[in-house]
Amino acid sequence: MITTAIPVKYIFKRLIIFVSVFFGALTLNFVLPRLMPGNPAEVIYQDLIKASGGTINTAYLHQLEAEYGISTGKPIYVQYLIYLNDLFHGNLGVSISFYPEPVSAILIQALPWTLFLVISAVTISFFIGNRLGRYAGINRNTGKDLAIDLFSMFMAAFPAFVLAFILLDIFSVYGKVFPIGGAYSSSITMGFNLPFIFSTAYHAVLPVATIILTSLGGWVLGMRNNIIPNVNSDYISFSRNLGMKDYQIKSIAYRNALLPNLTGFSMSIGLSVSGVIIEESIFSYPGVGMYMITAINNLDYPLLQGIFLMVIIAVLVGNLIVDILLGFLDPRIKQEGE
Amino acid sequence: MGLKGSKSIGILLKIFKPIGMLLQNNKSKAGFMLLLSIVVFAIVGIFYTPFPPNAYLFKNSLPPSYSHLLGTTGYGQDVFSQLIGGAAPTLMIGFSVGILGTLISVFVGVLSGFASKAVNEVINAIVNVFLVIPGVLLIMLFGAYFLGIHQNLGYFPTILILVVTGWAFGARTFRSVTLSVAKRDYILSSILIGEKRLSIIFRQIIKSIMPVIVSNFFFTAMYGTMGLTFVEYLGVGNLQQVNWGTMLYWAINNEAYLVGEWWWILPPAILISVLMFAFILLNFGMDEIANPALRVFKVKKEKVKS
Amino acid sequence: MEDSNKTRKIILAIGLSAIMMLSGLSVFAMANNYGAHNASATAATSSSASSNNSTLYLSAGPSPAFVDNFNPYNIWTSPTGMMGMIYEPLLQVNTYNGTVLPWLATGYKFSNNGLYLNMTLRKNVTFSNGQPFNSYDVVYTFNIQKQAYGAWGSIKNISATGLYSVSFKFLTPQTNYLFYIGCTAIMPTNQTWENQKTSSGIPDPQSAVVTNPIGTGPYVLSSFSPQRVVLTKNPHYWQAGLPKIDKLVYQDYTSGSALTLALAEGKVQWASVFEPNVTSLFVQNNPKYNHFWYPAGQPVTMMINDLSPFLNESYVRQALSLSINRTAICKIGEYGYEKPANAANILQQQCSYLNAANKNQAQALAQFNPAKALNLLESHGFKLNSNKKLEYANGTLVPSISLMSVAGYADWDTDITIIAADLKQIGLTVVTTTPTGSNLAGDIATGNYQMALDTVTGIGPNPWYDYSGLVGSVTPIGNTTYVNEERWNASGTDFMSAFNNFTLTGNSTLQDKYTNEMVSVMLNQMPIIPLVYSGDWYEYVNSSIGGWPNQNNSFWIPMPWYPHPSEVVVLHLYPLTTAKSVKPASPVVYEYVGAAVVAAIIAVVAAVTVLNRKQKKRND
Repeated sequence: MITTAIPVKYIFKRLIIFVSVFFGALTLNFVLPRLMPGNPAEVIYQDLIKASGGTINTAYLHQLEAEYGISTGKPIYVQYLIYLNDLFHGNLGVSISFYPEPVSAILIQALPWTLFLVISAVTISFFIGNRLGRYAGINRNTGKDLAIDLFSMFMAAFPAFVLAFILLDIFSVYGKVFPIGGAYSSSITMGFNLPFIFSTAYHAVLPVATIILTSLGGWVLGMRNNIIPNVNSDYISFSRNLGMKDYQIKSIAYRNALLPNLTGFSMSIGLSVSGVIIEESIFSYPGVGMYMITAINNLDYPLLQGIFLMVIIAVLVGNLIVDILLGFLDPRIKQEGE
Repeated sequence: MGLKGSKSIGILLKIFKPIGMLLQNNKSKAGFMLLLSIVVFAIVGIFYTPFPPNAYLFKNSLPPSYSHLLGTTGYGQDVFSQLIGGAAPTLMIGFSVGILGTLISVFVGVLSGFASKAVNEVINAIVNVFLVIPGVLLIMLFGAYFLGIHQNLGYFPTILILVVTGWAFGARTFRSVTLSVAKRDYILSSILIGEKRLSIIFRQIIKSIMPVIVSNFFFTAMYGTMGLTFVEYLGVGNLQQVNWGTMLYWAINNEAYLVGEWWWILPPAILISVLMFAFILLNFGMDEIANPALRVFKVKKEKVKS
Repeated sequence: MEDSNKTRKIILAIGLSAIMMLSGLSVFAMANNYGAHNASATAATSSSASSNNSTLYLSAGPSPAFVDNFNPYNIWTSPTGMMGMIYEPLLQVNTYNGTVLPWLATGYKFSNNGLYLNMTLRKNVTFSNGQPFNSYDVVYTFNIQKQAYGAWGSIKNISATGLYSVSFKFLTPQTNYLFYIGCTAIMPTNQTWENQKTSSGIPDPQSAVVTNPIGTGPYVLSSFSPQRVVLTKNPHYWQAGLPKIDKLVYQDYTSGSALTLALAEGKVQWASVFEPNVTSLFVQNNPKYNHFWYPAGQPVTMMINDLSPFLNESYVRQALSLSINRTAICKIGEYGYEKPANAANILQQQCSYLNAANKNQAQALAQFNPAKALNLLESHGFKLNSNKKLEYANGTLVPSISLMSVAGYADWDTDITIIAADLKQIGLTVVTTTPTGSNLAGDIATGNYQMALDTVTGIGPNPWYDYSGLVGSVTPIGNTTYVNEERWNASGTDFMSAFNNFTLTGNSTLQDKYTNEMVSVMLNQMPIIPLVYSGDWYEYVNSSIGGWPNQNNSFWIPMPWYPHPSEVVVLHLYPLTTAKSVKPASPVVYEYVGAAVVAAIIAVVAAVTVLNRKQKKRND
């Protein structure tokens, strides 16, 4: 009965949701920066005036404004169409704070680091959290359960960036076990070689550990609450009476509890991205979070939009992959779709 | 009128019954005690602080002593005064975000539970957009916007930002809970009897999902407290205000963690986590009360005993 | 059932490993395509010639990443200051004291009462690609800027009067242009990127991306990565025997504290970073080698909107200046690293231009004295009411005033609270806000502000430049301007005539006279209120490299981020042969240790899991 047949209808439904959310995000991305006050072209223009000391034509200001699509006098829907057209040609504009670097070049540099952190943190946290939650749920109402629950709740309650500072302080500043910052040692050339891989893994330990610690709680408590009804359910008593081994029963209960917990993935990705963006500046990690702060301070709309868009696309794609995987794994979802 | 009044009091009592239930569960009881002590601390702080919290009166970076229980900041302010004076605004933000966020999510959730399929899909899509977009992005954008218009709006921008980014979690929960409650027999019978929809929503649905609402309130309040620290850390709040978030911001900005001024960075960090811990305990305890599956074990045991 | 579980497990495993691999691949894809690149060798390797292979590690301050663009029009590209090592100006000017060093130009002369500037250029200078440097490069550099964005509006034309002489003709005499012209980086003709045009066909060399810079400077680009830029010695450099340091490594640090910690360990030897705890974190780590010197920079000023009611009176602005406790601002807001400014609004190093009367007045107006401030206000009819609030003579309350500073500038944000508390003493209610930097700049430009912290004075070798940003026609509130943002009406004073006369002469005695006329008007009017001198943050480690500027040997502006002065400093540096080079433990060793720790943890976890499994199976 259970086959790997593709749940077409389900995937189709997910794709529709994906596309609609994607367009929602695109539109939000178009609207929000335009609501923000200030004119970035003036900032560049002002810098130029200060640097050259002389008088510079205001014509150049208008040229800059045109370049950034500000106050072009075109109606808003035309601007929106131009924005969409540019997007589909991969043209995200030119950054203001890193003028004249194109936004896409910056993102290509920065985004992989952020994704790398997020994906490793979410995956590891998912596995550790679920195992811990399973352990707590099976040993329910014991000291072990209480200890795990309280620990994960407290970690979830600790402000993530303060934890980051504390870890940095203990392990890098005083302990000197881990590096103070960066994604890899700058004396190593980037590329597919062993030192670089080692270096990357080594530099990622603290940032990833921080996110794991703070996001663990959600998985632990979710799993615990999901597995308890399963352990107490009739089918488990039935299996036990049939003479199934204890560990087999536990793993069945675990698997059944795991699937509903997986649906928390979308929230978890979003939260982890938030965490990573904040922590990058603490661990001097060259991901999008670093650029984001610079972009905000310099009213760098194009960069801000680019980051916003890319992060949302990454999160959406991550969700889509998880959803589709779920479609294969969860018979209930398959039924729903069929 | 009198009858009606007593009746509504009765309904109110029924609605708020779950709050009494808080004390049935050990976790929520512990959370309640923690929260209560922080509230008392905050109330004291409204009326009394040893020194003006934001005045630069003393020598820089004094370690804790009898006259300065928690030392002084790198600017020469008294840390303990800031801590006690900053408690009330911090709590205020947590509670307002909790209340406003929960109101919005109950409204959206219950609405979608009763709306047509098309409306439902639209609501679902909107909720998904807010769930999927990492909150920090919105906090930064909105924060930069409010910094940009720089009107002195007090805590309003912060609360608004956090409510906007924090309501979607609850809305999703309420949507599914309402959907399941709405299918139950007694609601169907009420509809058949001809009870008005609003009345059903308030008399039946809200009442039956009250524990979930309370639990969600604590969750959103926790989000609000955490969000406050994010807003301040990212520098998009008003840094002239004294609360635990700005205390952390200034301590971190002056590298208190690097030069060993633990008395500046740890007290607000610990108090914020204790406050959030209290909210989580309450949230978790309420979940255990609200979710019958988690209570099954106990009930069965009692049955066996009897 | 069993079968389906297996299938699910396999799918789950494949899915997860696919995700992991994707993320890993994306990093490597970037690594291969967009990361590091080596500049196509324009210069032969030079290090072999020198027996002592010396390297200077430096950082211009925290930045998120370096930009792979060496376009000389964007001389401030990150790593800031590095462009000064590759491209050179005609003259090196020390803005602290006005010293001028001949550089690519060996001499200059104004003629026709300052209408012409004639420059003689240095012979035997070549660009790093071997192309000889001559007057055509200079003419080209200025003309393309004139064309591209209408710069150099006061220059009528630039012409080569010989292979090594250039003549600038101004519209009106402009002796002050010597500094602007002298400090412009000169680039070679015939570079393909200089023909970059916008879509509308206007030349736009400024937006070109240049990855292979060619200049006359002492260093050439060796390799670039977003975290690290390496420059090596230019073997064709025109100053014989220089530079003595073979290699410059610009290292990226994204936060001030990371940079300070690297400095403390000697991983960086030259930096400019604001560090509130510089003594405890940096100097005390190695007091013998770790030093800092924070010369006073541009004044941080409280901009005042001179068109807004109440603030439009010069005596009100003087009263505000008197009631601000600058010492407290320095001590609390600026950690004692910055010095209180006097009221004349010029660089501290330039105070020697002032005559005695101006000097005293500048001091007196910056002295904290709220009682005197109140007297001044009361003499114009203001009074304090019973609630200690300031009232106009007719009894109406003076409305509250807003004061802005930039969000995230922790020191400024503290300063404005101190100022607000100070002004409360003379009965004023000050509302403080902290918008973002660009918002604040925009508001000041359009005049939608009352008071704001900013650094507005120009930079230059004498007070004329300091004032150059403060004068101009008065722009109405709501219209944008970038000069005279305080909207000060200087007409009716002697200021403008002194200001204009200054540029007509090259005679320093006459210029001093005009300077003092300007200063005296400035002190009477106080269009803006100087608060403290910003710090020019500069830290250095002299364990393996010597020759640093410091308070005892302040030969030049010391910050690495300042494009042309940084070149002068670097050319003074030399490797210390006697000192044993302090070599930080090779980071690669740490890397392997770290990787081993991670691997060990993973191995232990795996072993425990496997053992558990086996145990369970045995139990069955």
